[in-house]
Amino acid sequence: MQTFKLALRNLLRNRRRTLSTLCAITVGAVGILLFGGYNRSIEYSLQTTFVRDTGHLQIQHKDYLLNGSANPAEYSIKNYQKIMAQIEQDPELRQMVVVKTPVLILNGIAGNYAAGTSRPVLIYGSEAAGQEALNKWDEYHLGKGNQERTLNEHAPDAAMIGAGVARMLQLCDFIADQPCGSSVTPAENNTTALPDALTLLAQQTREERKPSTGDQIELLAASVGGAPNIIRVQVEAVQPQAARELDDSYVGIHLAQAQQLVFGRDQAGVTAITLQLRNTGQLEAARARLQQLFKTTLADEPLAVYDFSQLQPLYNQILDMFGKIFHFLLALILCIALFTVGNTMSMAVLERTIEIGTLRAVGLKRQDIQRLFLNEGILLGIIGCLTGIILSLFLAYLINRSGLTWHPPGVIAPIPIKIRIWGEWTMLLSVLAILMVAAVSSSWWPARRAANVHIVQALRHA
Amino acid sequence: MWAVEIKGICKNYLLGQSKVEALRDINIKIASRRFTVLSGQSGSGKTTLLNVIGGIDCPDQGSLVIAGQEMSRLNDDQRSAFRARNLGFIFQNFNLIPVLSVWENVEIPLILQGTTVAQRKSAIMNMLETVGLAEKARSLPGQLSGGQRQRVAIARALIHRPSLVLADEPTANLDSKTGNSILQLLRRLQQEHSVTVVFSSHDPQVIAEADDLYQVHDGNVTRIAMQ
Repeated sequence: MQTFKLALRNLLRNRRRTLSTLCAITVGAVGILLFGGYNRSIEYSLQTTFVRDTGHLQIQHKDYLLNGSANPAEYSIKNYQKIMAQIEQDPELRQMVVVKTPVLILNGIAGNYAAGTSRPVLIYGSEAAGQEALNKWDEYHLGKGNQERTLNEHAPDAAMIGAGVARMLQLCDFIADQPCGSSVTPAENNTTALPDALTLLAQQTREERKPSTGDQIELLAASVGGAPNIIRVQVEAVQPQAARELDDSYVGIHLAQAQQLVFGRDQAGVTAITLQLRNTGQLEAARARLQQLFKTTLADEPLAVYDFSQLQPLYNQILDMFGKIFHFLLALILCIALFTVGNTMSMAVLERTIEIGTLRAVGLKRQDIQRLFLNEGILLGIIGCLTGIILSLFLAYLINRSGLTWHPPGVIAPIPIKIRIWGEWTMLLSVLAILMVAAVSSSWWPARRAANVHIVQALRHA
Repeated sequence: MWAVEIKGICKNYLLGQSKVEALRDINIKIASRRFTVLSGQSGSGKTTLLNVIGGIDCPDQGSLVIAGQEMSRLNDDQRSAFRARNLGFIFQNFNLIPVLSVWENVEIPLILQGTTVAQRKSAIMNMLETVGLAEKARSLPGQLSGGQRQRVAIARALIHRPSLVLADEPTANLDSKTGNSILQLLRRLQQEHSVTVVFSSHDPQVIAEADDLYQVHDGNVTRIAMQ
């Protein structure tokens, strides 16, 4: 306690120098925490988006990820209801899984024959109740998302499409706030015409059915055995997607409709069973349990399980990029803190050489002198870090309420800039510990020099 | 028992390329509980001798026994502990810790002894009254005159009842009147506390107060007088 009191008084001796050193540590702490908080916010935001979209885990046919998108019928899970029942009955998984819902994803072509337009699309067949449940996940308290892909349960042929799809299919009623309609006459516009091989099929279909009106579109896809199949769906609403590529190709329909399109009268399957957990921390435990089931009670099913980061490699790539930037920034700030504190302590040792000699003469040991200067470094670290933490919390509060946004690459909608520091105790303590280690480390050498000062030479120092 | 026994002490320094023999084969014994003065011109080796006696400098050869302890057998930490327990220092430039108050400066040796707060309080109050600085207890050294600072240094040197106090020209930076008052104070306290004081100075007033006098000249020490 005495040495800390003396250390504090010595820091106050040269207030200007102490203040500039503290500023360096404080600003460094603020920089690290603000970027770290921003990093954390992006991680939670991305994770929430992906977990609401694809769940924490997806059970798929073991070869679907490599080959299935070109042939969903072949690589589908036929006994998905049995598998879901098994998961429901499993005591371990029951504790962890909050939502399990099947999905059928396939590539196809959407056409608006009335407008003479068509477009390759990604057809997303799902159960409305399951999708609604997935959207409720909010471990990080981000609130409701912008996307709520819930189809009308009472309209079995309902569909939701991306804004880009609506624009390209010229469903102008759904995109009133955007330019819509073709600038060329239908006869000149061949770019969106059906492939030649299917033109005849389309003509036959047109003869059998009424032409689509207003909000109806046709979906064409390869069914079991490769034969093309067509269904007609009713567009209920446009659901703009965050990523432009998805916005230009997304079509969401009921699972039953998608199964009809792919399987016709054959046994229907799904391309994945989406599982959402109570919290992300349970992911590995859930995966391990599922893999155990795949080897035992579900051994006759060719299954694999993937987590959301495997299904969305962009997640880890983005986090990795921000992580590297964070570590670079941290290293830079640590260097500044090391040099600043080291310089301050070196100056202090030089200025107090006589004092060191006197204290040694009256009986202080080398380690006592070393501790004295180390304590000054520790105090600088503590005060600088605590001030930095308080300041960064305040700045985060201001930024979070400022309404600032940014556009990530490939994303249409602006994303609010949020900084998450409060509640991130691991990050706070880590930054505090790292800066403290830097402060103490940079004080160590000057403290050692002070301790090894020759008493007589110190007393003679001018 | 002798307070200090020095046998064959030599101490050399390198000054650039040349070797300076600061102490040459010193053999003296300093009596306990007496006011001993080391006199000599500047550069004669007084301070070097005091430093060696005080254990803050090591001789190149010879033996030094203080209060029965052979100093060469002690390592650095042991010498520090010995100084904390048995020695007091008074410097020419006072050497007070500027960020500590008068009270806190005087307190340092007692803290090193591990005394309790209550014991320290009682001892410091008595000592400050003795040196006439009770009302300055909370003042910083920068707020004191030269004479007051040296009184604080004397209080610090004596507070822990050492057996030996080493004073290196403590009156050199003071005017004659103040210097004399410091000398009288130290003399009085030496007698009251029965402590051995070794005082280096070339001031005739100081020499006149000596119980024992040693002349230091070119690294040699000669006993001049004993009362």
